[in-house]
Amino acid sequence: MSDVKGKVLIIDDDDDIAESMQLTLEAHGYEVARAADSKEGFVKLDGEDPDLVILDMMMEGKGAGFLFSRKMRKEAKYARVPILMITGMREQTGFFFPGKTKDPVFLPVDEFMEKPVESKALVKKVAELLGRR
Amino acid sequence: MSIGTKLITVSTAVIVLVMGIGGAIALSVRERAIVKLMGAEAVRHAQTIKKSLRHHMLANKPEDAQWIVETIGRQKDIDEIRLFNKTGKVMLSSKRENIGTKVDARSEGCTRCHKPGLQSPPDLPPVEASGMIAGEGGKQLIAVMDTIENEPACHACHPARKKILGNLQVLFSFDRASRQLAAGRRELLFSMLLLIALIAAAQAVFTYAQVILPIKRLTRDTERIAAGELPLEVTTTQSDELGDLARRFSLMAKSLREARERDRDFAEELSRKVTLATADLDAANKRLIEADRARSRFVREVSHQLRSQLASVKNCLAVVREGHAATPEKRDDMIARAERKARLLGELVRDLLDLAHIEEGPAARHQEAVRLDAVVERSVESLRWKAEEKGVRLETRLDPGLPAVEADPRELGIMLDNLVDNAIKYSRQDGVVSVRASEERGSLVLSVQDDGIGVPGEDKDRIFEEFYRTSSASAHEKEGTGLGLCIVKRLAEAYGASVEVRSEPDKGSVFTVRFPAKNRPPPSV
Repeated sequence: MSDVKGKVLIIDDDDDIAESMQLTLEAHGYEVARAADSKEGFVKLDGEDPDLVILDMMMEGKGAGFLFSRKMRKEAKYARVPILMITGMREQTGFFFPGKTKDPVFLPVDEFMEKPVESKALVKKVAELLGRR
Repeated sequence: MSIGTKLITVSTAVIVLVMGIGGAIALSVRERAIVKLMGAEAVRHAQTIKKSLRHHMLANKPEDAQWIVETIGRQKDIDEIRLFNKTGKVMLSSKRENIGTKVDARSEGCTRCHKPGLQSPPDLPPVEASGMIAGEGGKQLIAVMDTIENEPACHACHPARKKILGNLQVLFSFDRASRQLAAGRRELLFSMLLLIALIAAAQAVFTYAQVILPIKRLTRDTERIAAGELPLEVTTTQSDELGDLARRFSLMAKSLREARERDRDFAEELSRKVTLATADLDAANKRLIEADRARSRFVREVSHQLRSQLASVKNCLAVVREGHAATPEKRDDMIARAERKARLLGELVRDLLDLAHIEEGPAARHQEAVRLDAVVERSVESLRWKAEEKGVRLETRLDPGLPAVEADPRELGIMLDNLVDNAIKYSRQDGVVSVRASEERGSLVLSVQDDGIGVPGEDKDRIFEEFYRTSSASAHEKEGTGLGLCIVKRLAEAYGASVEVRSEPDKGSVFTVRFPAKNRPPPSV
């Protein structure tokens, strides 16, 4: 595809959600790579060199996505790759200090989206994050 | 003033009084006896003198008589010996200078027998006529009077008409006796004082030892009891009332101590019980809090599951609706995914209802005699399509003649369905799942065996928790509700049965449910 807008890495253990997001993003001209857990995520991060990472916060039954984002930010080469975090409804609560929805140190992500993610909103958010660079 | 001082003072005073009176009486008796004795002696002397004088008077030798009077008059204790006539004129006297003087008729020596001025002689024997009189210078004298009667021998010189020739008076000095009496009084006083001191000391010692000391001991013991310090024993060997009191007191103290010990034991027991009860309450409260937390966690987890699955369904359908599936195959795949998620949602709801039903307890249970082989057959049949889909072979091994079990057939079905479903899910492709019903030592046993991935040792207990999945399980199969084994465990608990899993990684697992023997219905059913 000559008019590829950018490469997105989706890290989510729910195969169906990952698949539906992939199809939506591909339909809008993005290249998509996928990983089902944190371990595969780091492998793909190296191999695919994505422009954006979509990360499920509550992977593997616990906050694996949360840990992944912190670990990713510690490596210089991924420090500037934007992260869009997908959370369950009201799941953010436990991860924030009161009155502070974004904390670059504690939870170093660029944007949040709540499940179920509307495809239009997703495409819009992805375009926004990629356009910021 | 202490009772001891009072006792000693009073008793000493009584002793002094009694001894004083006794001493005085004794003294006066003794003095009277001495006076009487001396009187008798004086009378004897007087008679001797009278006899001695008789001869010289008959011989008409007044000088010799005077000589005898003087000689005898020189004897110890004799104050004067005199003879006087009817008129009171002294004829002879041991004191020569008194011869010729007149006796005072009014003096005591005369008035004892004669009425003053009257010369009528009383007829008294000499002893009775003797007595104590006050002499010159206030000295005490014992006077003895005797008469010298006219007898025929005297008629030579004295006319016969005269009856009395003269009066003989012997005056004894009481001085020596008086000195002796004084010495006797002193002795008596001294010995009495000594006796009083001894008796007083003895009774003081006795009173102190027998009364004061025991009272002091009792007082000290009562003070100790009052201070909360209980003596073990009141020691006494006394056999009197005080000893009795001390022993009764000891008994009282003992029963008091026992009562106090009983109280203390009771209080300790009570405090121990309260502590235990409090600990029980705390534990119960903790369990409640823990149960409450577990419930909250469970609700949170259930909502998360429901939302995630719903989000999946929605997203998959949205992809199809918005035409994002590039190919018809992709579109069909999305629809199939949505269907699968919807089915999973249905299963989740079904499992939640099953759990809710189990939690309702025996009230929601319809027990009857259930044949295990029938339950196994029905369960295996209902899941055969799933097994075939995966190429898994389903086997049953049912021991013949198995007794019935008292249970709700629907619940047994749910238990078995979950076990078999679980086995199919985790068995390998083209594997074998074997369901067995048997009787072991009176217990009915259900076991489901697979040859799948197995359960890691560290997860063997946790797989029965709700939504718990082993790491190998989540990698292998994501389509479970995460509640199946939890339901199995809860149902087994409801029937008093045990569930255990034996497993070896990559070789398979065996889940065994063992019913207690008492779960059998009566044979007649």
